Amino acid sequence: MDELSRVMCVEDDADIRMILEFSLGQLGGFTVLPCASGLEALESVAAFAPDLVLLDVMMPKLSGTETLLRLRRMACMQGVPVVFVTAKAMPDEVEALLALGASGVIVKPFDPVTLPQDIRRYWKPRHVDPK
Amino acid sequence: MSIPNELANAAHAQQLEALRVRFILGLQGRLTEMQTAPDATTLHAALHRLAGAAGAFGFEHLGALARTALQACDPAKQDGSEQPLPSVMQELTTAIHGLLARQSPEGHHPGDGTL
Repeated sequence: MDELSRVMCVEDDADIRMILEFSLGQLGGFTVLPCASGLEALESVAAFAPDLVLLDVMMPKLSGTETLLRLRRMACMQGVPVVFVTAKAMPDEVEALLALGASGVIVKPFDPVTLPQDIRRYWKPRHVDPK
Repeated sequence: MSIPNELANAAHAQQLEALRVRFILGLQGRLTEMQTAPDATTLHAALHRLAGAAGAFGFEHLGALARTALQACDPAKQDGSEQPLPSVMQELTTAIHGLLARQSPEGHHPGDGTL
């Protein structure tokens, strides 16, 4: 699809999932799939086919970084931006997250009013390798 | 946090306010989780979630207290000048109780977590 319309949000905190759904769904007009864990995201991503994934870093069991690495191995995630949402804002921490293959890092606390616009800068029409 | 001017849609403003109220009402559960945390890792995780959520809902002071508590319970990030953990946890507890009290039927606006 050539527009950003489907966003998967992976976040273990229920309140933050709610505000993400409100921000991106109600204010941003996106179709949002909230996932409470990295495992849930991995199980849901193929069927949901997101245009962009927002991913918390600190999550129990399967961390955000490990979730990213596993998502990147999935064919359905080719070309899909994954943006970390994290309180870790030191330059070296951000660099480390980007080095893992994230398209960007949004620092918590995020502004639910501006978040729909903020995520657009990380999206581009997907180029799928014909191979 | 007052309702942002950008939220021209009254329905959206009401929805956001409802979410904020739900967050406040959940603070007692978060506080209990922190107070009964069996180890530092569990406490750290609970504080981390509170810091992120409080800020997203506009409770900057509460979020700042949670971040201060995070630093106080992380030996790697201390330089000797930090407020002791029990002291900052007491401040956090007071702030949470204040928000809950304001949200009670006899209370008024949620405020920003300050007393």
